Amino acid sequence: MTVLVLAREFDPTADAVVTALAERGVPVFRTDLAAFPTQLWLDARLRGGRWTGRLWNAHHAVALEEIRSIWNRGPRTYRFPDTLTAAEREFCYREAKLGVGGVLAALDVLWANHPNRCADAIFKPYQWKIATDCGLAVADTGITNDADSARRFVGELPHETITKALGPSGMTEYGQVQVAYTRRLTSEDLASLEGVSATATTLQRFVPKAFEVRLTVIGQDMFGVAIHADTEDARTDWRSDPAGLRYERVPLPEAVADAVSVYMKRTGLVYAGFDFVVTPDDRWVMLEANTGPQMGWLQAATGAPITDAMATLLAKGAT
Amino acid sequence: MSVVLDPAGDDAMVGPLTGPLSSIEIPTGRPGDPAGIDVGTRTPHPVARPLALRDLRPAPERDVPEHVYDPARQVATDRQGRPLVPDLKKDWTTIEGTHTDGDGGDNEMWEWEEVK
Repeated sequence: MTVLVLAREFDPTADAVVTALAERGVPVFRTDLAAFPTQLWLDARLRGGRWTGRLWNAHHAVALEEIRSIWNRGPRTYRFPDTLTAAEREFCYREAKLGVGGVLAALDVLWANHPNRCADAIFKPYQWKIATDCGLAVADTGITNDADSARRFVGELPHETITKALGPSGMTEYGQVQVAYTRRLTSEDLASLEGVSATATTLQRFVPKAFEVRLTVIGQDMFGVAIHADTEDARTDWRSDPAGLRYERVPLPEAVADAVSVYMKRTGLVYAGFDFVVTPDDRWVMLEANTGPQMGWLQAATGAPITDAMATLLAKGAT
Repeated sequence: MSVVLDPAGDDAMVGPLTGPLSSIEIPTGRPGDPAGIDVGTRTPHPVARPLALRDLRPAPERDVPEHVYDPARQVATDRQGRPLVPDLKKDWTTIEGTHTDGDGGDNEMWEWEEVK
């Protein structure tokens, strides 16, 4: 039985897991979906209500019926020759997604994580609702494109409100790649809220924090890592100052662990990276749950055996 | 090779926001602008800029170590064929200029990776 790893070629975390699987003697077939259709081939047959056949490249092959688990590790998407017209490429993209994605989706295997479960969970408002249902605390949140509603949410304390993007916050503009971190509002923001009407604007009450926690959940294993920040910006969004962060393993309150387990079941995820704020009075407030979390840095910083946990999960497969 | 880091990149999938396998399609570009890249030809309107974008900062950059992908071992190696992982210190990496939407263009989507 083989583990199918869908990842880009330069992905050290994927390398680490592939190496761990190889050390255990677990067969691995790794590919980037950008290899399809010119360097990755599929021959699938529906026989007896089951997809059979194989997936192969110039160096490896895997029988579809031999796949025990699929690690959906952020592969690039299908790539088509420039010799096709734009319309042809669009058609080919759709067919590839429906064909390759469809066959893989039909396999009775463990997905980490299933693409459609990831798609569901990409909606943070959905995450927060489910999290609350599961017993997790979440920050007071508003989403609006109405400036008056935003002003009412903010009240007189802009510095106690943060704004954040609901999706990836990077963009290329004027030739420069830029990123928008979560930030606390200012009096200037409150004086000029026209930008609220530009789109759905997310406002959230700032949660006082002693530190943050990235909780990596892999199957039944949970690895809580405290993230300590020393600068004002990093205390608002630790991603803004990665070099200045300090890490340590932290125990997980039982109630949080139980709620996270329920969340994982509700969302159909088998691994995730939760971000929490831990308040000075030791309340854990969930910020979000990433369905394709990075992991290697936490293991490097703390020694948490995250790579082994992922290898174990994938090697075990669906049971 | 220098790459741009997206510290928000846990879920910042390359290509459609929902990835190449999901049956749900959320493109990353605006309608009619599949690449999603603004080359700066529009007149900026800072007052009406979305609130979350008022404090955009240049994304940090890091060097990606020289490497080749070993398709037989299925891991990245240095030029001498040694797997990279044991030699890498903790760091933040990764951007991919990548095709995303079937139109043949390269989207400049990016995300981060932390390398142990």
